Amino acid sequence: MTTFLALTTLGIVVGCIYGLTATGLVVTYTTSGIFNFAHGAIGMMGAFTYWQLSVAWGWPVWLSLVAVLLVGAPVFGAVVERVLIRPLHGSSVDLTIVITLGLLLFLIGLANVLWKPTEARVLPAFFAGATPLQIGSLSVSINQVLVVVVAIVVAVGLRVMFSRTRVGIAMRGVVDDPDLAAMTGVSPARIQQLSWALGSSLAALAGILLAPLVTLNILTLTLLVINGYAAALFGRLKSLPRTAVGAIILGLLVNYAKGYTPAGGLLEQLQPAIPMIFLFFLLIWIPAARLRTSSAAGTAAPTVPGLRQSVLVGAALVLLAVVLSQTLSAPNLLIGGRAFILAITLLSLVLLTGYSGQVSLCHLTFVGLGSYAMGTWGGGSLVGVVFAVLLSVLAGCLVAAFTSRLRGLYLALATFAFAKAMDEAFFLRELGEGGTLTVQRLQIPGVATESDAAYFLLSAVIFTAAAIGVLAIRRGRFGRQLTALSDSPAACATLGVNTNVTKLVVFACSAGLAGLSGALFGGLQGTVSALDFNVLGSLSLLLALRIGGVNTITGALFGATCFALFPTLQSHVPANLQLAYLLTGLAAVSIGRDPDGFGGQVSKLGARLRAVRGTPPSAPSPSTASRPELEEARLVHS
Amino acid sequence: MRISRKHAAVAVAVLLTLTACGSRADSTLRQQAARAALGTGNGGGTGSGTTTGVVGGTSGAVGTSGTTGTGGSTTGTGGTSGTATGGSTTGTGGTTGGTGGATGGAPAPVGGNGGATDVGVTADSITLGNVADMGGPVPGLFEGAVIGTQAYIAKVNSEGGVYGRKLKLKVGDGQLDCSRNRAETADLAPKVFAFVGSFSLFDDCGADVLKANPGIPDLHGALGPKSQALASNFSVAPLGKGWRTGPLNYYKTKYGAKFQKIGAIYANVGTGPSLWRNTVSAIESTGGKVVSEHPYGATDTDFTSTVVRMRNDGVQMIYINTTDGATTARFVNAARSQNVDWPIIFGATAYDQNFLKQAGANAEGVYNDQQFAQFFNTDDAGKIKAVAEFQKWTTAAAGPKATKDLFAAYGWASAQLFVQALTKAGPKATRADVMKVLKTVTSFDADGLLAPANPAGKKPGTCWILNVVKNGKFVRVDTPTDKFRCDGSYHYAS
Repeated sequence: MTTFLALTTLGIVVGCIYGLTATGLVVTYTTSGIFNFAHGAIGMMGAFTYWQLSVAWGWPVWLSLVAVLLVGAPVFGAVVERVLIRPLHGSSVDLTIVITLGLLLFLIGLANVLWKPTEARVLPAFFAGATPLQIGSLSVSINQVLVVVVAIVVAVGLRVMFSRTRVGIAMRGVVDDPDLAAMTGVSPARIQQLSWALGSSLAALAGILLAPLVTLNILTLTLLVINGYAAALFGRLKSLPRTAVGAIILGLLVNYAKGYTPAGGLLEQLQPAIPMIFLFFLLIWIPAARLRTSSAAGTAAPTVPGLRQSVLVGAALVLLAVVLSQTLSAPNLLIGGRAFILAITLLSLVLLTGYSGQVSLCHLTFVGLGSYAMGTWGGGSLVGVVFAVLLSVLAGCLVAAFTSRLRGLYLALATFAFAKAMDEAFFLRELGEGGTLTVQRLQIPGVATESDAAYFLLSAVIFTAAAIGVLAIRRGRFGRQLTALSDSPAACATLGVNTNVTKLVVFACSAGLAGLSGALFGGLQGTVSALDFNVLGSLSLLLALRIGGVNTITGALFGATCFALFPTLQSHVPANLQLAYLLTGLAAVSIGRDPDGFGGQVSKLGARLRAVRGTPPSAPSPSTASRPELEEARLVHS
Repeated sequence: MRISRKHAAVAVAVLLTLTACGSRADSTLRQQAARAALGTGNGGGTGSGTTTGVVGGTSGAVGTSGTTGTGGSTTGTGGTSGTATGGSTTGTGGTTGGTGGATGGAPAPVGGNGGATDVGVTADSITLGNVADMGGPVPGLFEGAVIGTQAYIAKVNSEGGVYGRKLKLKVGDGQLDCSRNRAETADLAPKVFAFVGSFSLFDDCGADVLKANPGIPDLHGALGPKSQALASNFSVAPLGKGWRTGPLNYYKTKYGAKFQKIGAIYANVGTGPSLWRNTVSAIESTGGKVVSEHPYGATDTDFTSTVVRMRNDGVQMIYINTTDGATTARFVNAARSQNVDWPIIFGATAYDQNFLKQAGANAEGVYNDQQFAQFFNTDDAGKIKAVAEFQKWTTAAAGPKATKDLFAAYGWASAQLFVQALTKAGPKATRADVMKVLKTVTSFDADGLLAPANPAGKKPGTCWILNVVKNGKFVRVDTPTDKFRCDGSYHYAS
């Protein structure tokens, strides 16, 4: 009983930590419709800034708190809203994810530049000298009590604000109907800016309170909020009381699991993944009526090249690869090979996200499963490739089956939870002795593929073949179904298309392609580890695809090339160890201004050239119509 | 012409790519950075007659760097008091410099030093390579490995280099990324004489390159199984599939029945689980028992519930050897906050300035056993010359705030092992000559900075020291003030 009481008390404390981090997420989402992946990073910056003022510079605690919570954080939130968020009005979900992810990466890079992470910093606990509270056998520090009190005060305060104050009611009004709210004299833009300022302050408050408990560490504080996602979803991203309840339930679950799961068993393996499993099943069980939907595709659908054009360009690419394989140095062949293999992974995302509008934040998991199959059963054989594809297809089908009714942000979060859970419960445990797995390079009978040059060429050939295949899908009947699914699942269903089956098939195809790239990726490196398939890497993949262009083959190749080259760029600038992070973040943020990315620009350029020459598009099809055109068509038919 | 936002955005992305495509010849930037850190530039000391010491002893301990050679024209004869250790005593090696220093700012040997004897060698320089994780998600993670290697190189160069040649270090950043490690290793392999002092969580990725180039000596603390298996790898602290029993026997005697009620946490990542399983095997071989063990992950930020669980499981003693300093501090803070009075013992990674800082007063009374001297303490620096030299030259190489961590110590020791082998191999040494010498080094202790180990036989050491945190610093306890204890063996897990 003593242990139960102790674990329950701890569960409530931990639940309040989750709740505090989730509250800010909910506030910004309810007013802007954007799920802020950078929320933890903003909290981390707040905590470090507070440390800088109160510890490094010796400012009084109260002044430091005022400076961070009432000045720095709100101003930062308002600026972020004005510069990054406001232009995203009406944008697709994956674009908003990419933008906030870019902000997250930028802030991590900035923090690492400002505060060297290898140097320990200590943020003193509040009331550190006070006698701890004794609950049974458990000793609870006053700082922990403070977290509980603040979490309750914040939850109640926000509840009162949203229901009793003019500003709060205006916020809710803006969420429900911005146009109607504007007619009453409220400025939706100002209200949204205010909510981001508030959300930023809440993030900083959480960071400052939690840093003494979990140590002042850049990554720890940034990632702490991830467990809060489940609490926020329990509140359906809009109800603060439900968010608080969800947080407490999650806190209790985590602590009971730590306290009672038998050592060495499956449950202990799953223990670190509990918040993500909770989140995954929560998303599945949230009533369908509550789910918002939105498309993930780019704003403009580019012209799709015909088969002849695809083959010609593909042949030219292979020819270029032949030349490069004979001229590049060994390190550059590795980088080039990596770019082609990543491009295959991004192709799988083009199929899924670019064409069908389904957001996936778990594609590196499929890649990892491909590497695992090749390393464990394949031995570099073609059979290994088959295993890799099949295992990934199976995983893709499972994800699709469980998430068949989810779209947009909810699908993104469900796939995120799946990836994180796989990371914690599978890759970290199963990738061989010592956490690494040796993967043989693909050997094709009669073809020498062992050398870096040959493997580079092989990767280029497979990418080209995959790209031609993806374009063929795009031009065909299934491709049109995908476009319809992206545009309107409801309309799609009324036309007799089984959306669930379509979604299942596209997920399977996409996962299979990712698994193929995983088999090749493992062989390229020779060794893989869990870090290669980290969930944050999947977020970065989406970012790379957006930089390139979410629905073009050119975009996949360009994004993959950037992704492969950024670390190389970093190695040339040893004075700034965070250059890659900073530039990646900036690129993502800048791409928010141009959702079509590099591939979209190339496509538009091609269209302009054709217009100048007076020639029609090479492969016109109903599916190439841009969204405004489709909108117009719907209006006409209505 | 007005440039739209969209065009500007694409331009940023293109610019980034073009920049990244920049010539790789730009790697001199890294060299410049290294020189800047060393403060040595291209020059090199003029020498004052001091010299690099030479190898003492033949079958066991390598003699230490001598310091009083007179700058003769031939190879020195070695330290006078180098002794084989056999893992049982102090194993300090020679302390007196060779009598006929080969270089020391003096001209190269009569007849010359052979000029460009092998890859990376010229008449006046030898270029070495180092691949360490510095950028990436945890910037600066293993920069100590570079600093330690650079520090020893700076020391040797200040003494005139080796046979008229100054040592240079080309540094590759693994960025905690397998592909980067492999690419950096592949880039450096055709340019450097040997790899020295590297440290990466992904050294197995570079190991494939080294396996394809078996003639390149690789002196670094190998972590991955592929790296450890390389015939060309010589680690100053080889890892074994087991654990040392000396400390365990000590705890068994000291704590009696509590040794049967051990609680532990272990990192659920990389080599953490297997290392812990090996440790459990060693604990059980000495009559101990682990009654409560718990893996932890990256998102485990508080160990209070783990402590509650341990108390429920009847734990009476903590023994943990796979955690970093920050995690150790978090656990200690959680345990102390719950007023448990268990003896708390941590492994080598807890010997960390950051641990002392983050655990604060809670660290008092915490023990740790380790296989290296107290390299950042002033106590050991006053008694062990190698520690004083390490501190002096890391500060000289990278400033007073230079990272003096375990990886710096490994980098320093790896460079020392290389220099000693190079010196013994003679002025016209090739990679093969150095490799041949390295294969004879069966005991090495970096003059007392590390416990003696067997780099050629890839066998870990058995000697150790015991520290306790007292008044905010690590203090040796039940251990000689300037030597290691060598009262145990090494248990290999089945």
